[in-house]
Amino acid sequence: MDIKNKLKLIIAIDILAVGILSLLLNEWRLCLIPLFAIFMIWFLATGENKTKKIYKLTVLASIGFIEGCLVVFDVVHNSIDIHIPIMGFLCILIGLGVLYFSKYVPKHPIEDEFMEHIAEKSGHFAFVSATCLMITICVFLLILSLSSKTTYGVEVREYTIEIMLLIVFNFAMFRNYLFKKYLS
Amino acid sequence: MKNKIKVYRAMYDLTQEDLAKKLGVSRQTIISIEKGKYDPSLKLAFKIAKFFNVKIEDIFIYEDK
Repeated sequence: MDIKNKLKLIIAIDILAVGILSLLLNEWRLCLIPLFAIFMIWFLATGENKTKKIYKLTVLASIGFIEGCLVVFDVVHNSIDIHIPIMGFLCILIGLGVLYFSKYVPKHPIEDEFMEHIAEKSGHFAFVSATCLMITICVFLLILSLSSKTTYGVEVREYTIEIMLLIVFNFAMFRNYLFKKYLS
Repeated sequence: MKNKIKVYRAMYDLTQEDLAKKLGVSRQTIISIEKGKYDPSLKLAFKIAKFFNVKIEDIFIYEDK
């Protein structure tokens, strides 16, 4: 699959995610957010290899965006109390990732330039997706509070843990992905 | 960037682990450089060239895309 088709697929997944969320929350204006995000990515990606940069940013932003949708859903349906299942699921995913990618991660790592390079790059990737995650949560909650004129009570401790787990999960996922990419 | 580390390593009869230990880097660094997926820093590139007693351009070949 070439980059343009991959881009279309990712955007379709984003629109599907936000479509489901807007249906569940009965707020169609949420559907406009991915379009805004796509415009921002197109605006930010400049210079050489524009298509590649757009693709990279879109993948990272999409990960943050879908995770943001999940957190927004959690905030709105707080009464169901789905923190624990989400956190448990994330912990299991992190554990599975560690097991699956353990062959790529050195047992006795020497801190050298390659390891630093991997850490820097995965940190950058995690930062981009975390930024998109936070923006998604803020914008969605703003739209929802403006339309329904209600504010959502947020339990800071639970959501901080949840968002931190998501960021750690992203960092671990990008780190493992980069190890696999460079070493296989 | 292409490189001939594998060739020089074979000439000196060294494993990736041996070369990594001699250069003070991780084995993963050698693997990724050999595969051409990671471009080493200038310092490490000089270190590799010095270790094999050759010029840096004998090992690393720059290719303009």
